[in-house]
Amino acid sequence: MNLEDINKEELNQKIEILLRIIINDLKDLKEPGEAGWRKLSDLNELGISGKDLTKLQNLGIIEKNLMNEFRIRYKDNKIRQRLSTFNIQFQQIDYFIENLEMLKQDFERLQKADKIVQEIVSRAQEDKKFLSFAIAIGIWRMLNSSDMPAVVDNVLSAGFSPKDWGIISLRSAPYFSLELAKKVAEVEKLEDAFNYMKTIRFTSETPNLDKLDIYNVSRIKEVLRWQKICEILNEENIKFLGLSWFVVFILEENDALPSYIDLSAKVANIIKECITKILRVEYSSLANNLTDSLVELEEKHDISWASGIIFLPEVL
Amino acid sequence: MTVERHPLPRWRYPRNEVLRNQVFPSGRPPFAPFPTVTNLVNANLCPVALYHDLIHGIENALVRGDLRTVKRRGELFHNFVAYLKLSIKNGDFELRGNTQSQVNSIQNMFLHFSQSQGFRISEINDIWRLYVGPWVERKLENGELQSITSNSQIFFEISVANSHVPFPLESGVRNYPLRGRIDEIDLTQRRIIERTIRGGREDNAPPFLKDYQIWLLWKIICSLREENLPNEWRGIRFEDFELVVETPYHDFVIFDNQNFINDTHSAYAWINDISISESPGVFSEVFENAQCAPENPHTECGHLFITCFPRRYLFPRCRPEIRQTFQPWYRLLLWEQMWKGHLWHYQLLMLDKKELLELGLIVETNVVSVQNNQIELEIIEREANTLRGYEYCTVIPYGTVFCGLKLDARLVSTRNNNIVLQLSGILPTISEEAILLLSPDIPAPIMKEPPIFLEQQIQSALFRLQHIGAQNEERARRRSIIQLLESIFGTRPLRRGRR
Repeated sequence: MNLEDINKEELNQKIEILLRIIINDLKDLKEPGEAGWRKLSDLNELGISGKDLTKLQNLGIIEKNLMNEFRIRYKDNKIRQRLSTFNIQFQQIDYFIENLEMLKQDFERLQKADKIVQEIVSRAQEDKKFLSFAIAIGIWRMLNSSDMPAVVDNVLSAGFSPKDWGIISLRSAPYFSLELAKKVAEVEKLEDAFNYMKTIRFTSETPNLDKLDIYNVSRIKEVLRWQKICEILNEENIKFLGLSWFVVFILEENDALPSYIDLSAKVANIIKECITKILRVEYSSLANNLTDSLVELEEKHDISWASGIIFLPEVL
Repeated sequence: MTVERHPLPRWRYPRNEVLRNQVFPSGRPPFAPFPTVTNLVNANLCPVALYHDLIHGIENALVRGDLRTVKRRGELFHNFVAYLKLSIKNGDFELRGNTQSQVNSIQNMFLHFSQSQGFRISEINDIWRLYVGPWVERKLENGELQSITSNSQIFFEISVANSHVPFPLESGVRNYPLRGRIDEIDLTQRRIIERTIRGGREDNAPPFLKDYQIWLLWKIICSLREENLPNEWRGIRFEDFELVVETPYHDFVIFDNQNFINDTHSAYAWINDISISESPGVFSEVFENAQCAPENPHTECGHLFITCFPRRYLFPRCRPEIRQTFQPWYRLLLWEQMWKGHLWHYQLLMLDKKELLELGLIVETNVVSVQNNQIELEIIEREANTLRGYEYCTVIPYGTVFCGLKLDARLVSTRNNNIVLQLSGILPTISEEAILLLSPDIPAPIMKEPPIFLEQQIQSALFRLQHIGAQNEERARRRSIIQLLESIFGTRPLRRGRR
């Protein structure tokens, strides 16, 4: 019996439904061997009758297992060739099978991220000290991730060579982060913040926080126009930046960030919800206010490098 | 349809000092990009397609299958149609006998033409069967090819650009820059043609977004002032022209569409935000608005399971770190393109000729002679030897920087104050007018186009590197690139030799 002998369009609809079942099962991380099998009664509900199944069986398109369940012979290359109009569906199936292990890992990371973030939310809501330390660590993380962009002329006139600037400016991160965090949080030393996080097992070690001498700090401040940056960033901006960076930092530390972008978007949403809950302000409003501050720094005060120092973590 | 995005309050054009190169190029450009029609079409398809285009330098969202093959075949189709039409117009080829014998003689012509372009017989036969053959049969059947005479005014591959293309918005208009290339303008039949190898026999609508593409090109040409058009085109009302999307099997006439206007405002908002917005959440918004997912793919998109949803590998283990490190680089590379290339387009279209000459952005010439693919030009008000170092440039032998034939050229030799340039492409595809109008009275501008494609290549190479991988440890150990990535971005120590 050939496909040409029967109502092709109608049968194609049934095949599409059967392929969709496999795709949905694989998407739900079912093992390929288990994906797609359905009993006749389940298939009836989806509009596939026993007669349809007989036709498809006669055509060799579907297989039946010992449990009297049916599915398309999706692994069979000959069937794939015959069903070439469903190329995209086969590509989808291959995608989920080839990436199953990574998808599982990322899915586990996503679940882990969700759990960690819930814990951050409850601690931040209950423990003021935790929130202060989290903000301080987050700001440190942001400055530590920055390349400290600056105008070459300013770097040179402050007496730095470009090479020195690259090395020394980064070492100012502990000093600057504490200065910024103190505007909104009760924190004396960054070490206290890291030690606290260690005791509650959020982090495993304290990074190198060697402080720079005051002479170099003041020169760097001058180049970056740090005082102006501190002045323009308001309390909400600082809390928002600190918390965002802290959450991502903890997720990184705990291997809870997915490797691929589609699940990263979900983590980004989890993080946004977390920030909104803790700060009790809509995420979009926090982001818009931060943008306004950056625009003010860059356009009104001509600090064109501001968004290279003050920025949100790249989760995507 | 584009994912809606609130229209921008205004497009960010470069300030005067920026336009006149008085601002040192660094960091985030103080102006928005100068988009291409392809950018807008990608934005209309999906914000993620636009993101790949701008951030990863991968613009082929609507090309399905092997990119190189599709592009080569598409180019051959375009070039042959131009060659055939011009050969008929110039009297180099005559349609004789009945339809079948005409088809046969055109097929024979196609065979020689494709062989001269380096195609093999088997592929030539495929291309004839799938694209050229059906097109030729249709065009003989409807008498279109027979109607071409020596007076026909047909032009191919005309570049159009305007820094201020107006699009209605509420009770006013919003201006945006836009540039693109029109496949064919037929002044005699008063129509603009967008030709494609996409589309099948059974189709009853143009290939996805081809209607939007031709509409945008039409908008550009309609927005140009008379003095920006080639001399001979002045007075022509392009608003009345018919827009046709031509596939091998069908001609689709496209009408003005209000939805396209809304789509365009949203597309420009996406382009602006992805490129230069200070908003920290814009990339999240792009992915939140993705138009498909692995379980629910967009059937027209060429990124599927390649650029979007690529194969996921277990190794290198440090992929999140790689991604986070690479991520800021992509946008910096885009900014470099904007400083180098997009600004150049703004300058060409917003500064007057005197300023362009002073800034050394263009050189004016008179055409001395044209022979085969070589053009000899006499440099005006500048010494030919000052062009040394400019081995490659762009020549507009016909038309203006706003609307004309733009050709890539290579400097072959200099003679006194004359230069000889080798033009790229196939000369027969240039309209007869383009060559005939090259009288010594018409100055042709030469421009040195900045090579922004290099940054695009770096972007796409970075993206490929970001996704490289191996599924098992053994294979990962054998691939030095994966080991190197682990060493640079992961925790593995970098070692020399076998230890």
